[in-house]
Amino acid sequence: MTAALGTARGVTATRVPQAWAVQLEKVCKRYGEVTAVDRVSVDIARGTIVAVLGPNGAGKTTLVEMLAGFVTPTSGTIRVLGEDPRRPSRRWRAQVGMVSQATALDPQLTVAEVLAALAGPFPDPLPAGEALGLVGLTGEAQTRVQALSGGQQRRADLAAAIIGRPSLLFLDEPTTGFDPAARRQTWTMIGQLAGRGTTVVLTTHYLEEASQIADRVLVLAAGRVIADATPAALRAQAGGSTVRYPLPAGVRDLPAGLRRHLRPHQNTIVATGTTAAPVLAAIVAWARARRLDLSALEVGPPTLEDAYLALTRDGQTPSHRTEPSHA
Amino acid sequence: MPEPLAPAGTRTGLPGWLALTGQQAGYQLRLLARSTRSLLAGVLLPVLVLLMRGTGAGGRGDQLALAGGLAALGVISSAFVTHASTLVIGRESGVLRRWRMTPLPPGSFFAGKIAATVVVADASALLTVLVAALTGAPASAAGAAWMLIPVTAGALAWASLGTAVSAFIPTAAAAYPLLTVTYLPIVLVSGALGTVSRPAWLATAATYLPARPVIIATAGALRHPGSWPVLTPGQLGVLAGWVAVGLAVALVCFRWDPGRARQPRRATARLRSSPA
Repeated sequence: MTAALGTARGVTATRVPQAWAVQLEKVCKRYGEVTAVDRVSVDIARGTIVAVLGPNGAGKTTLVEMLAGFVTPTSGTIRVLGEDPRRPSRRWRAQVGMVSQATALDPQLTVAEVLAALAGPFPDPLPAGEALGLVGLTGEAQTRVQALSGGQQRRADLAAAIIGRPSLLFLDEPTTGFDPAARRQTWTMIGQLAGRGTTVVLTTHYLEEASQIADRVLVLAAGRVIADATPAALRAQAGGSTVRYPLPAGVRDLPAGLRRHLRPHQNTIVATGTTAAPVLAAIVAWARARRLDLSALEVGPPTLEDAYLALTRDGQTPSHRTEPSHA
Repeated sequence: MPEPLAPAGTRTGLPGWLALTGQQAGYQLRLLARSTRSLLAGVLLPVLVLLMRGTGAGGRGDQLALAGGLAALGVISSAFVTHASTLVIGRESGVLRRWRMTPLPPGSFFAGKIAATVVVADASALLTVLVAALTGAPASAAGAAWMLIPVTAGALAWASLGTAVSAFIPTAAAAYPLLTVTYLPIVLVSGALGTVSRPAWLATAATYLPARPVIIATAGALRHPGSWPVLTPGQLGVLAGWVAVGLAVALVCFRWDPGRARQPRRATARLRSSPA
């Protein structure tokens, strides 16, 4: 059986229902007067990795929790693996894994004990040792959860989420607290899971993470999807070149023309698109006059972060969003 | 580098309810055994009270009544306070959500958890009676074994109530104070530490609360092992009624997730402070 693809994306196509892991149609979630998720319509194909980005309070976690069945939408339709996640069957639960923002394992028990127990209800679980190997915790199997570091606890939580060989995995900021090596190992693992057909929906604040592993990026702001595209398409949308100049330590007397482009939390001047060339000239002139080192000056294509910040700063409306090159 | 994923095995059917309940009971028992708070509240509290107070200089009946009352105190503490507080803590920490995301039937989760609670409650009662015997109370092994019938029935009733009450406790920090002020007055007015002076209406009310039948029947089982019925039809009816009330409320009100009642305020705050 086939059905017409929703017109929300402005694309006409046919779809085979089994091809979609997730289907949302005009989904809203309101808490009193606050609209956390506002008329979101998205389809996610099986086997893809979708990153959901957005500022704090954009609705990312609410969206994922609705997909996992923990939050009931105020209106709209959600189908996840062909079922309503609010009324899932045991078979549905056997196919879905989730990592929430907080570690959710009994702290008094060892990692191996917890994973063995959580594997019990699944029809064909991964061996606990293998799940731990995938998240780089093989040596901690006999360690109590409470004795693990924060990052290790998150990795143990990730192992618990994949113990049932899920075909759909929800990850809510999964690598928060990870060291760089653990983060990259997790990216590799997520890539492996997607390679064998697992659909991954993750929220993250690490734009490098989305850029590295996601096939598709959804940007939410105030509950709405303001961009839906591949990472490359989002970068291209930011346009032109980007100039980056991390300020040398102790430099404060920035000219007004450059101060406008300063990202204070990074202490870096960043200019994209049509402003890049004049800002580059201004940086060079100012640095020459101040005899500042320019070795950290970079000129290149915009990063996903540049594109994201442009989107969220401009408060782009859904009608402006970029269409994904694949669904 | 991560190792390659193992190929899926041949097992495709979901495990059965009974097997999962047994696994869950074992898991929860291990969890309780490693929880200092549960051991202190349910197992050591009645023993400490017994050691401080002694079995008393009264007759055989008084000594066994006190042992029975303290055994019931431990049972109720384990089955109500520990059981309910671990549910609240698990809900707040996300452990309950983790289980809810697995294909474990909710019935297996609760049956396993309550079974583990009953085992700990029974062990607590046996330890209390053993200490009572060692300190001079004329308790027998037969009486201790016979006592397990009312103790188990009481643990089931209180665990059922604890499951229900856990739905109304907002946070883990509030769990112990709220549960303690709920159960302790009931246990004391029901005579767990001996006869107390109380108005007639309170004495009557206590017979309909779930502590008094457990205390009376436990002391009776210690005094007259083998005597039948261990629980009178009235006592059994009271406990069964509380089991039914607890299960009914739990079925309607139990929450696997922390409430979202505070979400609007937080969401508003986050929206105002965005972007990150």
